[in-house]
Amino acid sequence: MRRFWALARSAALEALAEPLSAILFLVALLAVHLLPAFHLHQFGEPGRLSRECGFSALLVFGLVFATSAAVHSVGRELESGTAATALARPVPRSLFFCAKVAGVLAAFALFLFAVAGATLLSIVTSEMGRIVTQGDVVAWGPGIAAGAGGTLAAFALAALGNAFLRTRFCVGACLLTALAQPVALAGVLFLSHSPVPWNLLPALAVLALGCAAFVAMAGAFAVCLKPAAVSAVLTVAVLLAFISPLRAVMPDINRFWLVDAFAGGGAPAPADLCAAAGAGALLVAFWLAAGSFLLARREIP
Amino acid sequence: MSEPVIEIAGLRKTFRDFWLRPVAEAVRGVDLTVERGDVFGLLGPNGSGKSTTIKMVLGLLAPSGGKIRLFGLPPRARAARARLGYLPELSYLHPFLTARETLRYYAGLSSLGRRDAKARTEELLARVGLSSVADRAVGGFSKGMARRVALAAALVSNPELLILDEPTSGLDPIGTRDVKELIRALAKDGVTVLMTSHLLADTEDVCTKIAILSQGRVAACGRTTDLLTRTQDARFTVEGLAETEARALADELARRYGKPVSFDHPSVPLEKFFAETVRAARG
Amino acid sequence: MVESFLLAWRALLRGHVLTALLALTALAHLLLPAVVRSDGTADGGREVFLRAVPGSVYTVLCVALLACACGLVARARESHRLALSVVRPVSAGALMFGPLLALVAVAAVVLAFNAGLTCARGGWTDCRHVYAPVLEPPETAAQRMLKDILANPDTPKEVRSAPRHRLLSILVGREVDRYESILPGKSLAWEFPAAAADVPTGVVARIRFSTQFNMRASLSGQVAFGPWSASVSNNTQSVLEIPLAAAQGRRDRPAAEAPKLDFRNTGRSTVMLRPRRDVEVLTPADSFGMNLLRATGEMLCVIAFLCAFGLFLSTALSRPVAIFAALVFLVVTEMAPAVLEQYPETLDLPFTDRMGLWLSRGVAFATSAVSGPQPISDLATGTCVEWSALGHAALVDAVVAPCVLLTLAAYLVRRRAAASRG
Repeated sequence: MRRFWALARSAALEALAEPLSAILFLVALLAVHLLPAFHLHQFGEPGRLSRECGFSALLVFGLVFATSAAVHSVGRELESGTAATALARPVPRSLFFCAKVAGVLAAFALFLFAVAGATLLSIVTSEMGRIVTQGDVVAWGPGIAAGAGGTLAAFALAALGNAFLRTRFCVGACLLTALAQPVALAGVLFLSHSPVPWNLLPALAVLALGCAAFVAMAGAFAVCLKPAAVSAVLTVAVLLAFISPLRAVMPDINRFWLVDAFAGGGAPAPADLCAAAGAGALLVAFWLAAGSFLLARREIP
Repeated sequence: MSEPVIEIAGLRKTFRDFWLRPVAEAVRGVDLTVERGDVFGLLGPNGSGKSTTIKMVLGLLAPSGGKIRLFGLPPRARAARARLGYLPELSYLHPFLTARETLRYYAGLSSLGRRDAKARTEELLARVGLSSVADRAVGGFSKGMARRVALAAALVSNPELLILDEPTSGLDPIGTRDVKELIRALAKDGVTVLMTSHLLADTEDVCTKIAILSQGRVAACGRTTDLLTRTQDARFTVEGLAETEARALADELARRYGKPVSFDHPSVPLEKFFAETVRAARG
Repeated sequence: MVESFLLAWRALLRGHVLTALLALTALAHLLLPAVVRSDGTADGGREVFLRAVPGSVYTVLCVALLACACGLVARARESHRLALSVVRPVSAGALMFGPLLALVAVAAVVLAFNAGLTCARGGWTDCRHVYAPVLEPPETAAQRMLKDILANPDTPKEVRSAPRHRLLSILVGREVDRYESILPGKSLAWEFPAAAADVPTGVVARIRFSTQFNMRASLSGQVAFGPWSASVSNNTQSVLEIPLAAAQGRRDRPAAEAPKLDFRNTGRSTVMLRPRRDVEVLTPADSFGMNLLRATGEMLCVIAFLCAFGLFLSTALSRPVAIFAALVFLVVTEMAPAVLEQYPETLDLPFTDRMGLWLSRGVAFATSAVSGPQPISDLATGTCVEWSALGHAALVDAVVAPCVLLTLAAYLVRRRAAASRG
């Protein structure tokens, strides 16, 4: 177990240390936080755009972040020979593969945590805008300032950490921005006492499980294909996922996309949530098994 | 005094982090002059600034201070670059190109005409012993074969100055000997060579001048023979002398000059022994 | 330059990029026609095929080659191979232009294959020149309107105090979407370029009529253009293509006189239309094959620009960051014109939305090299891709913009330390 944690921890840190990770965290969170300002696009519900943007950010930016990290963690290590160094020790190949994917999934969980916090804050901000809007005076200021400002402040803090404590900037930025979201949410709730749509969290987690299946798939493909080829295959897989011709092994995005159920104050049925979560977990397990099998058979020069 | 090919005066290089704070002072005021026809060895332990100095000479890194002149020109001047060849520490070849295509590519970058490039490529492939595998992709080559391709690529433009960073790394002893012979032959043809190596025996064999860098400074510099020869001592080699006769001769010399005299039996260098053994085994 | 071209070409060829793109193109032509559905008409089938199949190939090609361009220099730098090239007596510009030519060559091969497969399908119709009425520039009309508004003593104070550039921007938007009304029994005429009437036959008027209140009011009228005319009778709100036939009693137009499209409303309802958007004259151009050739040329120009942009990014950024930045560029290129189309500027717009519009305008201007040419749309609608448009795309997208971007890239390659510490 200790070897598993060591490998997973290094994979998670590697995923967060990539400059692209910090950029994706920043872009995704700022996009979610700034949305309430665009009051032209309310779609009849103040929080709807924020809610859908939060889910989309998790799906799009999360997929880019986690799949590229998985390809890097498994594929590049096999290519560069660092995997050979690890596998020369008494580490079973299946443990190596599962630990690497688990590490990437841990980093992705941090992204989920950050996006979930930002989405809740963005929805609360939109609701505040609806409550207080009088003429052209809107009350989005504190919410946006707390969300976007908190995110930027986290980056500034990470930069200071790098400057004075020599901590790794990208890792610090990702961790601190994730932590900044609940802090900002708590601050805004302290000011406004608006209701928080906590029931969004299971639906976000289910979508994250769908994405996790893609991450495991990316890892499995990275065992036997070059990184560029994995990117091409994954792009096709994501496109296929929307039309789901291969429901058994291909994550069907529509099954995990439960955000539409929240329209008009609704919520997804618990049975749907459980079914989607179960399907997601099975797909992750399938692709982990497939990746382990492929790695066991692969020659490592 | 012959014409200087490389002039380095007060060269400094400080690596800085994102916040522009100094991270490492790799080179701290190096002064060197390499003259035409020299085989100049740059020696030093890891982190002494050898590779950094070479990269500044090549114009790949910008100096933090001091001056570098290549053939009297700044290192980034195209006229200066036209007259040099460079072999990096690792071969860094394009894996999808064949050996022949690799040499043609670098010949083309060095402004050689099509016909000259073709002739030079074939000549160099033969010289480094890769004619039979010239049409194989270099991605599948062993480390030694890749090194030979990289060396040929450095020579493809008929350079007047050859900069070699660890030229024998990854080569077997026979390859190492071939490279040393090649360097000697090039020097005889008037090519100036600046090289770094961790293998002191190799450096000693081929370099006419050496500089030893330590912590970014020149600790010693001069002709190899001047630096290594102890003129106050003397050694004689007498062929066919038995152990007892040698001991008697030593005693006689000690008695006559009143100084301690030692003797030993000369040994063949391992490299020479290895080459002879392999040649004999191949028949 | 030849060497760096050959190097990049071999990398793309031996890295199976070209093979994969050709295979994808063939697959798209094989599978997509079975998946996409049209409205059942021959024209609809052709349009849907062109948008779905060559359109998809073009999109995939743009994204794939942009990603390749983003990787080429970044990977060479990260693997230290760039250092080996820059120490040679070769300019950084030559090192940059070679890969661009290789990427464009790959695009040319795939687009030629795509065009060949499209042509081989057969059943295509000739394309048509599309002429818009000759009207004064909207900016001139907006200036005039603004003068009138400011001269009017009833103009509200907040309008007078608004910045002039904002008022002009709003008025330009209004002028582009300005409706003209044609009362029953009345007619309205618009001047067209002389070239629109310089054809013996096959002239078509394309008009979209609206009414103020009734969305499906019936319409009847008489359209005349030069020596041709036709009667029209239909519902409003749809685009009507009215074939014009030689009319008896209509004289040929004097050479010095600009041809006019005249519509006489013979129905009972007042009809409306926007002259800048709803009135066009179509005349026969040349074959579909020639149009496809020009459209392919336009696609190639846009891809050249994208590849140059990718190469520029790859000199400045690491590979994944460059690819991400390039994809963001593609997304905003598509988004900005749509935002401007959907959300016109008004005086009471909040500050944040105004900033959004300004940002969209900036992005639309900066990305107009990519979003401007619409080869697939033109092909699908049977619109002739004019030689002048192709020439403009070639000059801007394939020559000027790549030269600027690659000169900057070359400067960055020279300025950046080409080696790491060691």
